[in-house]
Amino acid sequence: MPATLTADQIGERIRARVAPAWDPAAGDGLQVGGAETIVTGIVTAWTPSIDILRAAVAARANLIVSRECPFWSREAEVKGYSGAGRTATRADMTKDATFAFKQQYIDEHRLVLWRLSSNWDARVAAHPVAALARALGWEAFAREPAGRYAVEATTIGALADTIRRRFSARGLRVLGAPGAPISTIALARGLLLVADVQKILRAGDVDLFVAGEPVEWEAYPYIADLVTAGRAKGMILLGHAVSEEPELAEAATWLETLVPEVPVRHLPAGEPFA
Amino acid sequence: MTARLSRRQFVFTVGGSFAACSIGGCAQAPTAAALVDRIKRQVGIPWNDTTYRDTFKVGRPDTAVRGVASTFMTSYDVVRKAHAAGLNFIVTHAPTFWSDGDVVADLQGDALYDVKRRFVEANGMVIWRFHDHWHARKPDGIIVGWNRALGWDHFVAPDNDRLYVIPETTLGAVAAHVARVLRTRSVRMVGDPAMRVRRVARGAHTLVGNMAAMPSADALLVSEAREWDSIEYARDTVASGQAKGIVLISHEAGEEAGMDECARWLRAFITDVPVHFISTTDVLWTPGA
Repeated sequence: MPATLTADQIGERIRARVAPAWDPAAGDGLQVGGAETIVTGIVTAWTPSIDILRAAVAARANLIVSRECPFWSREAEVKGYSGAGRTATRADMTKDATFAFKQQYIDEHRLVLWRLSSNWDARVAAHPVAALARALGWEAFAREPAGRYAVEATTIGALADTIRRRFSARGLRVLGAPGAPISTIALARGLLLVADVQKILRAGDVDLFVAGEPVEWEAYPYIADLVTAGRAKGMILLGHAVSEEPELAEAATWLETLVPEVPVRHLPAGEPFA
Repeated sequence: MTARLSRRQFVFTVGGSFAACSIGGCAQAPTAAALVDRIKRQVGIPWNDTTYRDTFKVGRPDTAVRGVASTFMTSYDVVRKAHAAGLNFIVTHAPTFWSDGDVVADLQGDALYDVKRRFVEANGMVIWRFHDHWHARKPDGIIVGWNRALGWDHFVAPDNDRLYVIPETTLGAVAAHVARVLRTRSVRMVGDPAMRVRRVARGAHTLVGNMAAMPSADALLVSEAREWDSIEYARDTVASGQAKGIVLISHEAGEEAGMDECARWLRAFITDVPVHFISTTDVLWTPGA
């Protein structure tokens, strides 16, 4: 007899098991679609882009578990950085052609979009970049505290090139002299805030920051100033998607054991850049 | 960097302070506060005293000014370059202390904050931010400089000063043009590089700004936006079948020409001390590009 699990039944398992305690205020959980929808397959993806939704439909999956929000804006949470400006409202959305297209696609295919972000972070709080480090092949270089790595002596340019090839990434950006020698690295994913950099530095200086996305009036100039002051050599920016993608692969592996009745797969969103 | 001097006028230092002198006697160098008062009188719009942005950030407003630097962002590098050039009053468009409000309460005990603040104070420098009012001027001072740098002044749409109607080209060619004229090596693109482009709109940092600009244009030219909202919105817009694209450049590449323009504007009414633009310089580069 085929399994008849609803999106909400699967959601209940996630809520019960993903973290020590589910935080209902974090904006995670059902975003779009019917909670009573019978789930035919689960897809994990960094962001539920239209491309991902199409690939999910092609794979006969109708529950998409993602880190980012269906309609781009993180409405339900504080943005965490200064000068963020006004958040998009429902009124902004309803007059937008891309919103209308995506909403219609979701409705027509009876998709359920479910967000798993802050509660996932609580699950991996002790080692937030472990998945990214595994994707980089850096497990053997891990040092204390978590997020610090001592790679074999190299240069910023050589490392940037290695990472570019490993992730087939077109949108990497690099700060620092290509020939600058580096060994000690702080690895971070997602949005990098000044407070994150300060926390890293409290455990001692590093040669290089490898991170996702800094705000260019906050953590980016902070690290540029560190380089000017001679306290670091540079920074490699992976891009937000590239830096978080490996975790969605691990989320799929975890969901396979949590929901054995339904096929689960990770679909790489890929970086958005041409 | 020395100001052009008449035969009857020269500049000298006495104990580190400057005075402009002529046969009639020595005029005190203007203070930073006095120069800000001049800016407020010249800006052409009512001054909003409630802004947290356009205020002094570090250093003493009563500092005697030897020279003015206009810059996109008072990075530590820019501060050091200004000092080396003998310019002790910096007019900056973006923050100094790494947050929109230059909130220093969070920076107590931060070694980098101490280094930067002490450099400014020990060298008799003063930093003042000029953001809201420079944007609010008619026309927006940042856009005036940006139009000139892009060479697109004459392409501005008559009914929309955030839209350019350019000779038909491709998205990739727009990106290459922008990289060349704005001297940036970190341009990123969303969409098909071969897509035909004629209408280019200036985008925003925010999703709402970019959503508002998208319908009028084939492509948006965006100077820093968040990757999870504006950039994913653009990716979905392309995926929905609309012939659209984004050329994404760094914050300084997008705005610093507007502070070069600011230096030009300041020189019209600050004639007693030299005024120079100092580039923040977009130092980001893309491997394999």
